[in-house]
Amino acid sequence: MTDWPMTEWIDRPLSEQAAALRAGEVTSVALIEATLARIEVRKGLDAVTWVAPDALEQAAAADRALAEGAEAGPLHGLPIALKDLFEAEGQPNTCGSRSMPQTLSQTDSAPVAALRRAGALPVLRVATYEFALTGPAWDQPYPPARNPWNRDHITGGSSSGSAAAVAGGLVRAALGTDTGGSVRSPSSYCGIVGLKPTRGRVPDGGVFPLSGTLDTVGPLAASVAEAALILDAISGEGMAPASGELGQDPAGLRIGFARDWLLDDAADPGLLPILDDAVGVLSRLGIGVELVEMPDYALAEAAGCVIIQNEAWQIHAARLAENGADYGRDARLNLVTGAALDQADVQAAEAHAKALTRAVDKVLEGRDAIVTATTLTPAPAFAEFEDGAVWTPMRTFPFNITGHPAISLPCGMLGGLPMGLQVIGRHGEEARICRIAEAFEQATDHCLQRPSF
Amino acid sequence: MAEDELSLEDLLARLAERGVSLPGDEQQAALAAARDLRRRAALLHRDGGQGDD
Repeated sequence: MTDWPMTEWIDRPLSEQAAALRAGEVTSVALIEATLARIEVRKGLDAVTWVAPDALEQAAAADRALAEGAEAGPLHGLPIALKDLFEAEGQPNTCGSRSMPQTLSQTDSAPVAALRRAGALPVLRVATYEFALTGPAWDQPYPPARNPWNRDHITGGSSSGSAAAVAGGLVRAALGTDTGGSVRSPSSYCGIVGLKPTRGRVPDGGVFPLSGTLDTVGPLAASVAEAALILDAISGEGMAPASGELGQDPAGLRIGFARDWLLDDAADPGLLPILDDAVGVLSRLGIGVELVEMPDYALAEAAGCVIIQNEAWQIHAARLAENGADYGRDARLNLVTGAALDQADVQAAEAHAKALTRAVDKVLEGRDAIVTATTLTPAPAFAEFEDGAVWTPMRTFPFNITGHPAISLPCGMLGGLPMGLQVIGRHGEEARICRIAEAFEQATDHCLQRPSF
Repeated sequence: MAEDELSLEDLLARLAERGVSLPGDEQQAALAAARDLRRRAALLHRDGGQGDD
């Protein structure tokens, strides 16, 4: 473990890189060259699956536009990585599956188009679990991404490459998708920030779906401010900025600590002291903390599983009939479970989802946020997955079902691997949870810790 | 359907309705995963869809 060596521009926050570009202190070409060199040196992470052949030409065009006085967006000339699930013009969208056609996308997905409008260069594609389902697996078009803190351990998923790329210092931010925790859990496992916005905040046309009901596009980033910056760039019109309360004193805010969710046999014994310490930090910042009683986690997880497996089955059944042999084994086994569900099961899950939303709203009444862990253990070793998929305990699923925004950020280490603090807010109040998360980030040094290379 | 009522034949028949088949060496693993999902669904039925209201 080491403090991040801030000697290169690509290791500095995106806002600083953007300012340096405008001031002529660095060029986009130089940033892309440094990024490509970093990818080559750290290729053992297996994070990046594709680099735009014209990445340097795109950077040169960005530099020319700036020199000619063009209006520069907040991400002008900065590289951002895309989970291999997003359509982007001229890029292969494999979704991590050999079953996808070997063609290049004709158009941009909505989030990629938004990134380009903000001036970003989405020139890197990074690994995903197959169709955002399950992993790690070794029968995808590329090997599974490795955890930069210990390459014998998984990154988590399904936004596996996004987390590895950010934690490994290849990029400052990447896009991911979160259907049951796929932005937040890899962020927790890899020691970075992952932000799942309120459902519906980010238009997701052109992103391959897992569950139309639960899918949410969100950023993985090296800091809270950068996650908010990316989210603001890809949000639909009329949304309050996620960065709107950054820098504001959190004193006087009120949060509920969902400590009962951590008292689980599956939790690492070292988890509770880390979370208690984290909540102590928030308290010392002047935030009022109360213990809160949360809805039953197993029921929420059950509802989420039923909704996802039903919808994923509906999406993939015809494709499985056509070319099921081209799917990876674990993905195929995962998908066919949806056939075992009946309409009554789906109705029960939908009824529970409504009740769960009301219950979480009730916990948030008079409070600005709920805090809890993101995952109950650090990242498992690859060796645990040799016989197939393994369920990893986390505390993310309920907020996909309820649609509440949630952010994960580093809060400590267990066995040399990072753990994440999760902050959940009221619908549409990303700014409030980012304010709390940033205050925690700045009061501690967890976000400054980076793996050694 | 209770989770213990799902047989391999039931699962394969449901898959066949959509034209999907599974290799023989994956069928038992698929059945185990499907039964696990049905156990989760059964939890929801026992809860009666009332959640924590």
